[in-house]
Amino acid sequence: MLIRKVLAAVGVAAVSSVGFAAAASAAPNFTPNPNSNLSNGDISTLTYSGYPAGQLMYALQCDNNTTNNPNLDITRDCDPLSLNTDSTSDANGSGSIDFSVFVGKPLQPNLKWVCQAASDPVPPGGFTAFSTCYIRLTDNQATNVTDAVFQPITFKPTTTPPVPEAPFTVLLPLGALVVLGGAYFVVRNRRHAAA
Amino acid sequence: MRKRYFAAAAVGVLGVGLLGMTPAAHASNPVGTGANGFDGLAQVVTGGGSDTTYVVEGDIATVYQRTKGCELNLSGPPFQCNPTPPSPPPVADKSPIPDPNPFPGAPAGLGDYDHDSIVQAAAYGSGAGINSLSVGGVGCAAGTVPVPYSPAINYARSSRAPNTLAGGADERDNCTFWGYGQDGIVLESYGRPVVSNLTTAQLVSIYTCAVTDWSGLGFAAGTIQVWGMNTKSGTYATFNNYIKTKGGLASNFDIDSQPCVKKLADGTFPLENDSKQIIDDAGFDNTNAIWWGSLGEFLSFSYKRQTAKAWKVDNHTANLAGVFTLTYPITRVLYHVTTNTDADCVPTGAGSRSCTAEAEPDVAGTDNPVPGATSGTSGAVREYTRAMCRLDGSPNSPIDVFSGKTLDVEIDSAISNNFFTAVNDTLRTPGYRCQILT
Repeated sequence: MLIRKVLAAVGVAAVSSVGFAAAASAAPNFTPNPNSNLSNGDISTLTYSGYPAGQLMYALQCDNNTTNNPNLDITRDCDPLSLNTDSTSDANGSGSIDFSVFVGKPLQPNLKWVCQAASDPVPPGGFTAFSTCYIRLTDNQATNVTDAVFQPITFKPTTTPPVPEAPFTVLLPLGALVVLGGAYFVVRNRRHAAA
Repeated sequence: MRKRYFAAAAVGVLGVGLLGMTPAAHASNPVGTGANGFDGLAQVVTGGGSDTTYVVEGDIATVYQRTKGCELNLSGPPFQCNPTPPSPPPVADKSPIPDPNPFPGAPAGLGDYDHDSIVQAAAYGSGAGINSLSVGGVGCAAGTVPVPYSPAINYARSSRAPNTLAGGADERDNCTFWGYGQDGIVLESYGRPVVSNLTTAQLVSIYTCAVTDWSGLGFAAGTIQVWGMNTKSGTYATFNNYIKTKGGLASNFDIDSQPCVKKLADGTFPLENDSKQIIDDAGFDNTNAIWWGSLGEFLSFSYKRQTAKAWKVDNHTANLAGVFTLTYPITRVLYHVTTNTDADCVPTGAGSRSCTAEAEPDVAGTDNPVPGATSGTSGAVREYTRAMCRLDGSPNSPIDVFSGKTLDVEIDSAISNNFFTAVNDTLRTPGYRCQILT
């Protein structure tokens, strides 16, 4: 009986500690919704969790993330003027932000990159185009790299892609086949009718 | 014998070639000429005044000092720029990290050429800095007497625009205001259950004490605790001017003099931007307090922000896009202030307060000799001001020898890092990245 109680206590403690560990180790993360086919000024709702409680949140749109670009500079590779600090994390470190996405050039002058669909033409003047850009979310202050998370976003083309021309090498034989086939059935029907 | 002649001829040709290269490679290095502030001697220049711009001006000064300067003659005092620097070897850039300089021909002489040091004196407020500047014993505004600053400063940091005094004297009479960035004024509350939107009319009613309870503004009831601010602060001046103008109030309107406005327990008004002072005050009412401050500082420093939350104003969120596009209602330009004798633009005419547009803004023109200071700390102020306000993308923008980036890019980053913005095109003086008020 005593052994059962001890085992039960150990079991409860183990479950509790597992639960506690899971809660304590929840990493900061967020989901942008929608995150694709975005147009300039579209609102993507960033639903976040795992951040410290009661902190001012800093969301920015960037041309890359730190995995692809370890030297990412948030004053040059992110648009400082895209900063959204409308949200403070709740007691659980969660919350949401309505983030206004830009497509094309950043508002900040003198940044030589654009976020746009892959099919859109790159603007002249030495700009680099990114068909996948990132929203960076962190807390407390913008330079906080510990809690910074990047999530990708993609964009709706602003120009209509050209309609691919149907190759004549395919259409001509097909057309001929249709005409000949039709003629065959017409002739056969007439013969049946005559018979 | 013939071989010796050939060798001598070859050496001669090489020598002539090198001699020819020397002046070409250093043609733009005005070694000790005194022109444009270059006296070839390293000076210490001190700026003082604004608290709001203390950090950003320090950051701009740091990147300025990282630009390529002259070669010093270190053989003995006064360690002046070497008048005959050796020619750099004509080698191609074979570095694994290629030189990112988009303007490889940019002359070294247009940054911190003679290695001046720009330091920031303690912040006593924009007014304290401006009021201490002196031109022959007269202050920025004609007829005023400068008030000493400790330590003495060579230029002022200001987070407010120049003032016109009651008698018509203007701080631009003897000084020039170089606006290099923009900021917003954020309205802050702490423990209120709802921090949403305040209209300008509601702000006027709060700061004239016409409404003293939050319920009068449609919020949960509670006596509004209206905190004042140190009047020497540019943040005070900017917001006081906003309320005065929008409320159609008397020219001598003063928020701190209003009966509902609160001081700290020690009888003083709090210094700007640091919420800890009022949160720690014995009389602080967490639920009902309201204050204002710099948006840049609010976003930069959680230590100073503490638990403050920002109100919208006229349904505009206090954010950098709103500040830059001037759609947020309460914005201001941040200035670097010099005496006209140290650094000025070239006026469009005698007595004009407008500046001539410059292809290469040389502060006082590209002519030589030029008006303005050419040596000592005054010349160093001029050299620094020119670099600060040179147009973005100028081929004369010098290189930061640590990062390889041009100074205009580094200044942009310094401003962004402090959550201020560049000056909007509509406010810039043509040919400069700054708004110049002179």
